[in-house]
Amino acid sequence: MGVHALWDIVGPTAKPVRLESLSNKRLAVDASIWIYQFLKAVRDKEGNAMRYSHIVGFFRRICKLLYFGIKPVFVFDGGAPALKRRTIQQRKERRQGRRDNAAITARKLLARQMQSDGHKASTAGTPQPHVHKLNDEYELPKIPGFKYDSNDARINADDFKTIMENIDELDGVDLDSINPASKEFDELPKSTQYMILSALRLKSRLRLGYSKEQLENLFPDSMEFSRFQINMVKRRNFFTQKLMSATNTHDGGASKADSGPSKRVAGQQGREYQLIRTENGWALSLTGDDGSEISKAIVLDERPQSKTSEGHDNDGDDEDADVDWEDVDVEDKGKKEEVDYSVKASLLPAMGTTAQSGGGQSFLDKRHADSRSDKTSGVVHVSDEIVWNDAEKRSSYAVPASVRDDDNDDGDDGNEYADFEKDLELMNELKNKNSGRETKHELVDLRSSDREVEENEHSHSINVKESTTPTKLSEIDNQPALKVMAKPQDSVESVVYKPAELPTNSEQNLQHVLDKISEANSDSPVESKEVAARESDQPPEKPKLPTPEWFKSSNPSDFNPHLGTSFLTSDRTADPKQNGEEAYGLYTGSRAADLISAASGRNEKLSDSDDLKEIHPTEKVVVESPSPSSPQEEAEKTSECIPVVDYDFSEEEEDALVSQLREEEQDYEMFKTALNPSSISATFIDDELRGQEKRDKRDSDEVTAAMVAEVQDLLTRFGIPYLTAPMEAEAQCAELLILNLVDGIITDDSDIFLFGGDKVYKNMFQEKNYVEHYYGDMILKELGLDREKFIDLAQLLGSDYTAGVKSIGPVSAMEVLAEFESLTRFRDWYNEGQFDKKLQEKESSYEKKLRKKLATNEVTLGAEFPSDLVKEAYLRPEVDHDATKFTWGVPDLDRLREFFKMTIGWPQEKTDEVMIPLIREVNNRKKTGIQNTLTSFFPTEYIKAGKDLKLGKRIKDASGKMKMKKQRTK
Amino acid sequence: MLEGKFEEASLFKKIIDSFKDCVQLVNFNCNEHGIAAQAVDDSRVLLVSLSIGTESFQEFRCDRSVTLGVDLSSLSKILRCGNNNDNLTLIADDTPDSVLLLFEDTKKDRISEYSLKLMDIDADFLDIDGMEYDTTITMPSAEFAKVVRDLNQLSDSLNILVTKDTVKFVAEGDIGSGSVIVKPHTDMDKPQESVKVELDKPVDLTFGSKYLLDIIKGAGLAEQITIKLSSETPALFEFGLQSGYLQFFLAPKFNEEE
Repeated sequence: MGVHALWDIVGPTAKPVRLESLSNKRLAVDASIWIYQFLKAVRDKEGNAMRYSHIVGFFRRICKLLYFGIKPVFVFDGGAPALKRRTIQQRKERRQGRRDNAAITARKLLARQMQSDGHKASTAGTPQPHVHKLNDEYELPKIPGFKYDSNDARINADDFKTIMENIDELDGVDLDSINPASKEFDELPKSTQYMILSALRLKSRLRLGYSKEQLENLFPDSMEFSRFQINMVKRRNFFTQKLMSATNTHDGGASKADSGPSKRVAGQQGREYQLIRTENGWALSLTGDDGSEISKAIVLDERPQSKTSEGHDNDGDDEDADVDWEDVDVEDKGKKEEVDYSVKASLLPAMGTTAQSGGGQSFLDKRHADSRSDKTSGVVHVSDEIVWNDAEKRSSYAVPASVRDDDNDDGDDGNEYADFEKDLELMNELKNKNSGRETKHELVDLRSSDREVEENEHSHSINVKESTTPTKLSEIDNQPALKVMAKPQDSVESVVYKPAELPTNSEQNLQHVLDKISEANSDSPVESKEVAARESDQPPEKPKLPTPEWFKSSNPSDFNPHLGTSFLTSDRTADPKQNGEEAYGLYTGSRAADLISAASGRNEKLSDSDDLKEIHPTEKVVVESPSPSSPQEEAEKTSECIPVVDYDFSEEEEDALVSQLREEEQDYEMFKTALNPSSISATFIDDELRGQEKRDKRDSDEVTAAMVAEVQDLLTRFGIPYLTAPMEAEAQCAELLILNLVDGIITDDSDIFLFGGDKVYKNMFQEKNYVEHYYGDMILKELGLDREKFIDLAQLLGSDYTAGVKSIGPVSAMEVLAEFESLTRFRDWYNEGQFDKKLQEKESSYEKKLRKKLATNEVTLGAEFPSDLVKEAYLRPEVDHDATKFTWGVPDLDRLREFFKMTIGWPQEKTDEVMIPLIREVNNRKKTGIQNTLTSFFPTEYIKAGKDLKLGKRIKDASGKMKMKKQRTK
Repeated sequence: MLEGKFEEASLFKKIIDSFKDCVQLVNFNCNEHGIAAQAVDDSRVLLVSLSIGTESFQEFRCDRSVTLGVDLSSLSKILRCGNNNDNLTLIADDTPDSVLLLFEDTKKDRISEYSLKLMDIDADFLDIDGMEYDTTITMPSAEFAKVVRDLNQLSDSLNILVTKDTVKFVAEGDIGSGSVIVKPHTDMDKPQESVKVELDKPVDLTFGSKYLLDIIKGAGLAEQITIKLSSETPALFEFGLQSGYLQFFLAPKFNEEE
């Protein structure tokens, strides 16, 4: 961007200018570079560009300009001149290489993902192929067996056996079938609880009494063994907590662990307030939104009953092993309130058990013993294996998830994985639902506002209901063997698939639910509400709706269940969240298919637009539900792929940009509070890009015509003039200044000096009150640089138009200019002396040094150096010479509201928060008249109070020399 | 070498106090004609121009011109240390790092000496010479100060209308409006109470009240204030010194509709 390191040279001449003094000035803004800056620098933690960052960024900057009474003229790049295109081409190639790297990395990630998925699938008996298995660098090697000393006490199996037998005999209670998490357990006398728990704890520590050989048999794969161990650790943790609560040493304990880290601090009917962990501590939140709308309140009344019976599931109990394991599955997946903590439910294979599920209902379930005893060991193994696969599958989801998100680990123990999984599922569904709802919303947008509020409330509660229903569905057909396709019909089919005949009533049940749902969805939104309501009114036919409390369990700040409807969360909290979601995206993959199978079908129906239908629901989860059908979006889709202009930033520049914009962000917050002290946004987590922020990895790196169009639309609504330059925006800015259409130029591009623009304002948006001002006369006076010299510098240093001379930096470039006066002389000196030893001997020490440096870098200065083409391109750029004066309008509040609602989904209040005080300020200024500044009347003379600028010594010498020579020629 | 001795420290104190609130960093340029300074406030609306001629000093000597970059708030801190009746001498060498302030008590044999570090100050220099004005008003500075203070209550801008033989100050605000009319008259007994208006062209100008409030802080320096106005150019408010002046140039507001 610009001339390399030119800012370093002119930097010391910068003068801080107060923003107030710019009031009423007409300033040309080089806008194309802005879009690119936002694109580059505004990234989420995953490194993805954020959609609409440019709009938010422009909005903020425009607000700042208007607030200070500046009259901006935005200038966009038109095209790139041939010279620049060539340089761009080179950059493109470089970038292409980088992108290839990214693609390779992505492919690797995918391979890893496929591998773990494939692994699960294949063990679960689905035809999914084993792919890339060997790529997993964390894969443990298969070891045939361990060698150990026969006297090694740790391995001595006999001891264990005795201990285990003793434990097992405890009071004649079968420990294996006890589920300490059940209510029944709580009713036991404390002493018994204590006894059982400590026994269980001990037992979980002792590998459950397995000898090494047994374990080896059970877990032929060492990976599985690791998982088993992790699982046992969690379980033991739970036992310990339970034990502590049984002895009253710990208030709350595991039984309350489900409530998660968010604490309810106050309440009123139908509302809930929470303490939510934020970056800086705790904040009181109305559960993720400001409660400003009824629709955003948490509808506690709607909380469905927790599920208490499994109905059809139990029918399978008496059947064979296949049904048994299926039950466990439902148990763990569906039941949240009562997670089975019996040892059996730890999915431990050989303890003899299946995963028969009794634990939930009767903590002392001995039935398994009868059903088990008469089975051959072969059968046991088969079923065990399946159970294990199932467990493995689940835990393997949970483990990476919890690793990725530290917050999830708080206090949740054994049931965490199940919880977490549930969360993912529900969040995904909710998301889908919401996108559906938004479509709905747009449809009813025209209704009067109070009805809308009502509507919101309704549809919100429906959301809760609706989203739970599919969960039910997936529960019902949730068996490991089924990787269901993403369509509801398929899930129906899948029921037929089940290895064991399902009790017919459950199948009917499922069918019924599906029918209901499709019925509900084919109706109009309003009707569907009723249907949904009806659905919930018929408990006997439907599985009961699970409580929405679920969602909360794992991570309240990030996974607040109501986030889906509220867009007011701060960027910062949103980031980890996106992070998390992204993470799911990765492993949801194929799994998402069966999780949201039901929901997807629904979505398709809900959204009226065709394009939505085409999108595979699984994709939606990953890509974050493309927003429903704004017409603009359609247009984008077609035009997005056209990269318009390309900018070149060096690595450091980009880094600087990122930190710069981060500062600007904070700055903006302060600005906002200054503007509107009553604004609550500081306390409430609010999210700028949250609403419709979408990831567009495909073309995130290019400034697209659509983006430019969006920004121009925004400018129109602000009443700010803009123009598209025939070629380069900087050149046009300079021309506007020359034509006296503007009083100065806001740009960060040093090319501006080469195009003849002085009066440059740089870093307008970094400092709160000051801006760096570069003044052409000042630069000439201090550095002896004029436009021609700048162009010479560009030829040495390299710019958008020319590659520059290798090994020449800003200091040596200044020296070269001072020594040789013209580049032609520099070239001639270099070429003539190159092979002429005699000439070389006569050279001064400076010349010798310079020659050596150039020679070691193998610099060749051909006849095309210095290039007249480049000089010409800077001196006579293609610009619009139209001298028509600009006029400025007033921001159109209504149209701005509409714009932000349509594009980035800001609610009206969010726009108003900044715009209303801003417009008031602007009007006020107009009413009381504009304060003139003295500088518009008096010619300014810059006086240097006997003081030198902080220039480097060599640069100072060089510029001194240059100035001297200039005076002599005069 | 600079050596300037004020007979009374209060004079220099008053001068500094009258503009230390609108500008902070000032370069004092000292040469054989006296001490001069020019400074613009942060918003570049108000310019202060000070000239203290040699006549104002009891003794003055300056062989070579010297620039003293001073932070006014620091300077006024030091000035507060001396008594009003003390002799004050400013001393600086040719390339000064600091300026020495010497207070000599005239009655007792007490000498206090303070040294103030100087600063490098970048400053614009506005070429303010050669302005021509349509109207010149001379009036008692206390009266002008009162008008400004009173009307400031109503609005943050003050309109000055000068017609043939009246000067009208008008303020229109949210709570109401007010106006003060001053007519020229000549007081033979107390010439400093006279109001004089010289008019070439009628003038209608609006100024920001907060800047006018800064200006009237100089009212203690002189009995009379001279206001020079011209349409759509900065106005000049001048307080005369025994030798030299303190001038304020204030850019007017203008209405966008025009």
